[in-house]
Amino acid sequence: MCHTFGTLNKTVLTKKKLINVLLVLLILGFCLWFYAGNKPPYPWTADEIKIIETLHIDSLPLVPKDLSNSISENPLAAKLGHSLFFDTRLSANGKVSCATCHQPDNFFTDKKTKGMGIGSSRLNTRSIVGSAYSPWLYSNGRKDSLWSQALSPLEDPNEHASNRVQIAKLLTNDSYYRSTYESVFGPLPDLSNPERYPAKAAPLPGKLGTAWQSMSEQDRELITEIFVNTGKAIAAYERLLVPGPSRFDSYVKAVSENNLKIQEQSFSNSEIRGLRLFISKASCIDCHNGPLFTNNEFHNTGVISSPTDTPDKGRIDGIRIVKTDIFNCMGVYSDDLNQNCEELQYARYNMPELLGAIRTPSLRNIKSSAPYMHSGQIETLAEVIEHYNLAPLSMIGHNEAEPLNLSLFERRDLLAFLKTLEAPLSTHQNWLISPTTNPKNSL
Amino acid sequence: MEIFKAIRTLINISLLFTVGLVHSQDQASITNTCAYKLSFVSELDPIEINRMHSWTIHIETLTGIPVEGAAITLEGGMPEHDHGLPTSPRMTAELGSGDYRIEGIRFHMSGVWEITATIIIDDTHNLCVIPLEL
Repeated sequence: MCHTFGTLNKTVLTKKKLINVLLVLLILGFCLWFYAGNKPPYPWTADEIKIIETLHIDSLPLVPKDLSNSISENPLAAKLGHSLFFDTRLSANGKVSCATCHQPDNFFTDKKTKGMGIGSSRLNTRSIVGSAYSPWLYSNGRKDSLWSQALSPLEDPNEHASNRVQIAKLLTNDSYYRSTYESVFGPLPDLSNPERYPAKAAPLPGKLGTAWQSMSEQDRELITEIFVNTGKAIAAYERLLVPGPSRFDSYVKAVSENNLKIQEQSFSNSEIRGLRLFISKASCIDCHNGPLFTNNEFHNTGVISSPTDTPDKGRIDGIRIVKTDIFNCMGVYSDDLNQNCEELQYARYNMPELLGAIRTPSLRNIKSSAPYMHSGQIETLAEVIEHYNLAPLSMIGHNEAEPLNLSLFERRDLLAFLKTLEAPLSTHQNWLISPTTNPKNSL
Repeated sequence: MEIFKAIRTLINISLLFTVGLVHSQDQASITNTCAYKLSFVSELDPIEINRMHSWTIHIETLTGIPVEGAAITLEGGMPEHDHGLPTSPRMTAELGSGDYRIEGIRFHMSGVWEITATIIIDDTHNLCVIPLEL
């Protein structure tokens, strides 16, 4: 028995020692974590300052002209587009508008894995803030203008599930829409004859397609022109959605002006180290470059598909689709009479590296844009960093990225930096709410 | 500053004669070295990333005589990143005096690029590599 008690005492003592050792290790670990978080970074070199200045919001030029949309800078068209953007009547069940997924309060995303309209979209909802700067829309770039992109969800059975005749009739029957449309585009036709214009019709499979085929070619053309103009008005509105200056921008300005006080006030040591990683070891700036933190190009970075999805073929599909799209820049509905359309004319086609390549998203307001990746496959920003740190083999095509070998501390710093890109839009507040909720909208 | 800019432009614009890789079966009609002296002027100076622009490429013989009647194709990429150009540039005009316009050029990353100009004259292909750092 005595022997047994002795063993018990020894065991208790050993456990106590072990707990003490663990406590010491925990305290040491905390000290190391604290020290690593506050270790002062070394000063920026002249070359580094030049690089971070390229990311500053002031280097963002004016929104480029869209020659395929002649009314893109018409304020009345933007006002019309603003109303259309928030109007749920542009859907089959009267409950879905563009703003259902592109929610102003969430930087024009929806916090969902995949967009949800009438049904579930195949893709995560991308922000449309700053999208007027991109030559390509959607993750695979299957659209080459904002107006052409805006048309796609309207007739998509999982999104608005509407149809172009229903939309044309809404524009002709609603007095505000009718007068505004006519001021921008010219007279609307009389669509009241149900023999000529069924209630619902579109060049789609099923009943909508049968109704569409019953219409004369001339009437179909008339309707499609109104449909296209709807997209052009929405695009005129979307062009106004541009990001505003973030804490990062304040910091860069302070660095440029060598204002140490503002530098200290605007960025922690961890955020400074994260920014340095962003432009160096982590190579984020290779693709996330310029003031919008995107080159709007297509890269395969080995993002794993959602369990129920087949791997997205990415740009190899996108370029094939956009080249034959009747609503592209070189199509008959484009206003670019000279058909400059440089991006479309000189786009890469049928190259192996386009397989599984997805368009680089902007990182402005990235903290508020979760979940991430084209199908919302990754829930948190920390996991996104982990993904790039590992650079796994791609399910389809070839992953351009290489493992980054970032330490735990470095990943924490990079994450801290990415969170500094939050900022309200520079767009006037009245454009960010539904015009119907603000009837005295003075815009 | 003007001298510095001129030197920088010269460095940026001067093209080197380098050995190209030959993959065509028609070996007899292809030279694997660049038999010409090339220079180019970019519509954008300095070249900026993410902006579509054009180049004027000037070709002359090693003795300085402008080369006319050539066709040029331009390809390239970033060896470090294992990807190509984001666009497919094309020759759109022969401007005379050995000058050719290439349109549809855009770079989407800073870093070291390697552009291969294939000069086709009388069915002979010359591969000339243009190093470029943005």
